[in-house]
Amino acid sequence: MLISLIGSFGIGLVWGWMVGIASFTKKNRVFTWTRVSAGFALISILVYLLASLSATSTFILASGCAFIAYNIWIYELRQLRNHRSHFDGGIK
Amino acid sequence: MSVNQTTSIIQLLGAFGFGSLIGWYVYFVNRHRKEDLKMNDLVTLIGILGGGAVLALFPSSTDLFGAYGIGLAIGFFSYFSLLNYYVSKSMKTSHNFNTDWFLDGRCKKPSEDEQITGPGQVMGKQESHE
Repeated sequence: MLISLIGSFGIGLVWGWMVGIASFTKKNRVFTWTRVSAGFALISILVYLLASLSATSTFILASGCAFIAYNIWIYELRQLRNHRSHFDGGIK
Repeated sequence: MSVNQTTSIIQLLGAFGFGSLIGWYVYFVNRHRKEDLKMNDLVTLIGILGGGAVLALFPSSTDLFGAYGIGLAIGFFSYFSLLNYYVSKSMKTSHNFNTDWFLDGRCKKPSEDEQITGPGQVMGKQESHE
C-alpha cells in the first residue's frame, strides 16, 4: 500500500511538471490562465482514470507541488536573467 | 526468503526499471520536440503515464504500479538533474551554456575552428529545452 501511494505521488510529480511546461508558450514564455485551466481540467480527467488507485489525494498533492515547483523554477531563471541583464547590459 | 518474495522483488525491480526508462524518455522526447507542447500532447501523456497498456502490465492499486510510478518519477527527474548538472558545469568551465538555455535554448556559437557533427547538431537548431 505504501509503495502504491509513493508511486502515485511519483506519477503526480511528472504530470504536474509537464502541465507546468504546457502552461507556457514557447516564444515568449507567457503564462496563460487558459492553458493552466485546461491543464487542471486534464488533471481531473487523469484523476478520474486513476481513481481506482485509491491514492488520488497523493496524486493531486504531487501534481500541485510539481506544478508550483516548475513555475518557481522558471521564475527564478527569469530573475537570474534580469539580474545579469542589469549588470551586463547585453542579455535581452 | 521464500520463492514468492523473491519473485515479488524481481517484479518490483522490473516495474521500477520500466518506469524509470519511460520517465527518462518522456523528458528526452519533451526536450527534443519541434513545436510547442500542446494539450493534445498531454492527452497522449495520460496514456503513457497511466493508460490501458500500463494498467494491463501493472494493475492499479498494486505495488507493481507503485514501483512503476516511483521509477517514472526518478527517471524523469534524473534526466532533468543531469541537464542541470551539465549546464552548471558549463557555466563554470567552457561558458558555452548558462541558465538562459532552459528558457529559450540560447548558447554560444561554435568558434571558427569548431564544427558540430552527429547528434550535437540538434543543439544548434534552437529547440525547446525545458
